[in-house]
Amino acid sequence: MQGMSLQSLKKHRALIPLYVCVGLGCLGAVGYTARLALRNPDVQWNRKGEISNEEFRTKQYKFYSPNIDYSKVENPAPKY
Amino acid sequence: MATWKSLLLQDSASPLMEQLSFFHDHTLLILVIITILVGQMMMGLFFNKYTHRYLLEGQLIELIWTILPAITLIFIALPSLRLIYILDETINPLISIKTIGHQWYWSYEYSDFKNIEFDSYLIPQTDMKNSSFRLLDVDNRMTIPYLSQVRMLISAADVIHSWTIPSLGVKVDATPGRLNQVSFTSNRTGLMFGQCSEICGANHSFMPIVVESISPKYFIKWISTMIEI
Repeated sequence: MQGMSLQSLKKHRALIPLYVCVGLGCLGAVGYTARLALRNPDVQWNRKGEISNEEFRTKQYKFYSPNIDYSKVENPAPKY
Repeated sequence: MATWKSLLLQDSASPLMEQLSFFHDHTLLILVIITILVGQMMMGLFFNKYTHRYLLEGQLIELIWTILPAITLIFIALPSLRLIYILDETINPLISIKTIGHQWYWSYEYSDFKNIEFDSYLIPQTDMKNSSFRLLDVDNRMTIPYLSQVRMLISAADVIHSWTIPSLGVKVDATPGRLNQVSFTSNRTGLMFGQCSEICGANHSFMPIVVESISPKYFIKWISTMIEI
């Protein structure tokens, strides 16, 4: 098919933005799923040992906070 | 407040609404530019006797009219994301006020001091004076001190309503069984009007919201008169 090999892509340069957008979309989807699998507090990869939420006590869930620095504010979660 | 023939947003009374207004102006400018550009091109096509007999492919123009809209969308997305994060900030509020939506009036509760509770009904057309705002004035206004951060806790008693004040940039659904929180501040004194924004029955259009923003000194006087009632 036209555009699937590098030579035909040089002839059909208008397909480059398509590759860029689809590529970004795929990267985004894979990256989001990987982030969910590895960083989500609801996912536990550790098969042995105690399950605890302590490692998430200082986790910052907010992407960007213009005003308050949440890393300095204490987490109101109860300590067992 | 909203008046006849006003096409634009109401004057802002809060810094967040100012930012929303600027974003609106920025985005509307981009949209007007795009509309005029496309309109001009179409008019050019209408009043034109040329024919391109060998119109096929055209790689360069396809590249351009894919990249340019992507760049335009980035110009809109970046201010939008910035605004979303700014709107989500929590600043320590000075006062907390609860408002409960009923069919078809709002009730306000100030529980920070003594428990002040009152209902706010629309002033019907039979009772209004010539100087009242028709279908916007209420008997008891919600009063807040200006330049102070106010936390609103909004809920409903029966069906879903929505508490909104356009000039403060606030619109929150009042859902029964749920407490929604919003925080705002008023830059100036005055009356700010809003209307219930979620269909709630026969008198949905007749349950307005009026916020009276006054100086803290008079607010304290108002609180003490309300406590006695």
